[in-house]
Amino acid sequence: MPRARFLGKAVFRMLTLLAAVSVLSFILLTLSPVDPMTAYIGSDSTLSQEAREEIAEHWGLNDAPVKRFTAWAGNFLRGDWGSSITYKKPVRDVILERFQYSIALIFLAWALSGVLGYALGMASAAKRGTLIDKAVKTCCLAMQSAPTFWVGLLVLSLFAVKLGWFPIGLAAPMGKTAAEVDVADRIYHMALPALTLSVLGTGKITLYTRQKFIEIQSSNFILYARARGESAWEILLRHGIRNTLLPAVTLQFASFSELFGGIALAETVFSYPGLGSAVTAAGLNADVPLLLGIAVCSALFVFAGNLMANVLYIALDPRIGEDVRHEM
Amino acid sequence: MKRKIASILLCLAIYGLAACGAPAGQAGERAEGGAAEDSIICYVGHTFWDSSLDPVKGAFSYGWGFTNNALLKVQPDSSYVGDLADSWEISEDARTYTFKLKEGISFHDGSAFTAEDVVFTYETVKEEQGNNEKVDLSRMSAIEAVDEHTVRITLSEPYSPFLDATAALGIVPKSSYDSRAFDEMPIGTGPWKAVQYDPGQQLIVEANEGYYDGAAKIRRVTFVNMDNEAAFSNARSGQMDIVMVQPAYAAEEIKGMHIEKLETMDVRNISLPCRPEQTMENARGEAVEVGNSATSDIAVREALNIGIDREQIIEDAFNGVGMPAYGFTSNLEWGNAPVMEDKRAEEAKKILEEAGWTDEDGDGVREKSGVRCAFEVYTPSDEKDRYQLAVATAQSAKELGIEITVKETTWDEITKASYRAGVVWGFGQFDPSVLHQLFSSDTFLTTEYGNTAGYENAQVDALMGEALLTDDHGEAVAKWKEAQEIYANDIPYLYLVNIEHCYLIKDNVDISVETQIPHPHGHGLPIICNMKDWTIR
Repeated sequence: MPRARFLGKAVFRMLTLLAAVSVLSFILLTLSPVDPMTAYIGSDSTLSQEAREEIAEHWGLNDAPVKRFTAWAGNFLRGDWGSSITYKKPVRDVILERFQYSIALIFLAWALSGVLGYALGMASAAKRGTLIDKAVKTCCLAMQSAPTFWVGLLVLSLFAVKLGWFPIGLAAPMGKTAAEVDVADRIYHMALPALTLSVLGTGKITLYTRQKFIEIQSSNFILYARARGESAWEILLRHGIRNTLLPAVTLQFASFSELFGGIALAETVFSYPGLGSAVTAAGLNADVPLLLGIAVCSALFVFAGNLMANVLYIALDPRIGEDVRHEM
Repeated sequence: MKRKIASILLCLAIYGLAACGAPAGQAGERAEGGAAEDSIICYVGHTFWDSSLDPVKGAFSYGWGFTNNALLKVQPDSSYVGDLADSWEISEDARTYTFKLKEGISFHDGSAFTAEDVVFTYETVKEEQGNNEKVDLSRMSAIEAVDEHTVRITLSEPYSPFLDATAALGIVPKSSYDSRAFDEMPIGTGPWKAVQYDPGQQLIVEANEGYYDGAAKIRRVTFVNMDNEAAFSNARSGQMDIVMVQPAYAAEEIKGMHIEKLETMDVRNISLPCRPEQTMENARGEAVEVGNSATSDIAVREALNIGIDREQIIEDAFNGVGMPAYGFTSNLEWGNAPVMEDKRAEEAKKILEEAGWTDEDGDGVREKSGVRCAFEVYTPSDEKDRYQLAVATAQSAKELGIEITVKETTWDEITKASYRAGVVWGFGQFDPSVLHQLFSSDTFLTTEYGNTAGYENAQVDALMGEALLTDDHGEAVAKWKEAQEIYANDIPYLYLVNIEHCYLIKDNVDISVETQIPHPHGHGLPIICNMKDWTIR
């Protein structure tokens, strides 16, 4: 029964979140000084007034904002996401196509930052005060404060332009058809944007893990372990990982939102055809259905990440499960 | 102790490896791009990346065949010849167009091209006009297939630029048209077949071996989408054959490539509000601030036109790439720019002084009865080149004692300000109706971006009206030319530059410059207008 209540609460929270996100995005878009008609036909168009009227009619550009929003919301609830004026395609097709690229990128960056951040954090805490620790700490602080697009440009100019190890852009080799592109090609093209994106999360997870492990090292049970003669390596394996992994995992799941914020920039720098470029195009063209569609999908994705973190917490640490059950 | 150090080193090594090492081993064998023997890779800007490739939805409506052919096509001298049409006739009331179609042409899927396909294409666009912002069929009232190879189109009113629409609309096959599939894989009669389109990423086309006018010599062409800088970097690493570049890069040297500057019909000008300052009502009944005290004086407009130094402006704004312009270019059949010289600063100053504009307070800007000889010029904030042009022009105008303040903003804001301030416009298309849009008193305050200068001249209105209604192409061209001659004296728009498109081209690729058509407005893409004639040496 408590499980059902937990689930019900989550679903309710999700629905209110989605409603708020779509309303807010819509308001922002109507306030933006972009004229969808100009964005669509261009400033040098010689279209007749009749043709312009038909265009406005077709895309519902003349309707009052409230009517546009309710029409969109009604259709959306019925499963019709509308058509994108930018891509002249159903919004659902555009998002599905772009999502695949972005999801792959996000997961790679996510895994990369999680594994590296955790390993670096543990290493640096274990060797607290040494040169390695200081180096890692400085690096992490620098990474935390560096803007994604700047890191992207740096990585691009070093590894792709100067050294030529990686392609300069795109998600597949130029001139190869889909049938000719293999998984290795995909990963090869994803490497630099994923690396750039992972920089965002690595610093945070490293510093957090380091802090946590240092705390644990000064606790009584570590003192006891030392007294029993366990080596530093054994302490790390037996007590360190067990006690730091959980908070790290939670933090990592909660970082979905930051990754989502970062993809637009990383994708632009690397000409990577994911959601980032679609969201930019949607904004610049005042493409209401596309922008709302992407906003809802992103919110859903981030929400799922946070929910997973909560569920994992309960699953991995029985103590928290107890608390939750008591509360409910 | 050793083990600990080793483990830490290992951690760091993993980071390093993941960051750069692992896939690097494959880099050598994975080196991509570069011209294979019969294929090339191009970057020609961003024109088609966001949208569909379906001609019914406005794709490739430039007047030359790509995946699909239109009834007519543009020639290098900007006149029209039949493409899918063999010949055409216009009735005396200028409302009926009859096209005789070429026979024996087939679509990529092997089906024969007939009049039914033309009717189907035109009817579909007419029904779905909202989905096609490029080809305007709102004046077409009926289309019918007279026989298998003859089509008759009836207009609701005479409109001579309709011919331009027939060169812009690619024909799709009635039997296999599928709106969804054609977004990525349009079937047409054209010299190129799309084999792969990843929107936002790349488009790969292959030569249509059965093309009615002779198959292309290059077998496969890939267009990639990236930003200017990335494309330039790719060119530098030798992976691309053709790269559109901004004028700022025109002086760069890349081994194995050369710069080609191609002629366009794209002219940049600044509108000069012709009316005194006042508040008027637009078509929607909203109050609009109109006119400008400085530019409404013909002396100021005249002084700007002859006094500024266009060559210097082009040098400052575009690195010297582009040609001075005084009107619509002569590479347009109907273009008629006055022959004149600028950089006559002394003469310009005299005109201003005679009109009463003098610099009393010594601040470098002239005044006349308390009004400063100053106005604003707006440019869209996403187009750096227009901003640079405006700044360079302001610099040149300053020497005459005229102050131009340059403002960068969105098109929405520009539209609001366009009736009382200058705007940097870019126009260049085959269709002469642009003249009507820019200089007719009808479009002032009724059509966005139409005649924002508020220009009004009964003679020009009458000539353009006649040009629109005639059934004779030659007569239309003559009328359009005459209208330009008259408005040139009134200078509602200050013409500045006829821009040139710059490309880096591999030394072994020949883009057949002599069969290029003058490029219309639109960034970079028009270079592929004659791609069928390109060769790899």
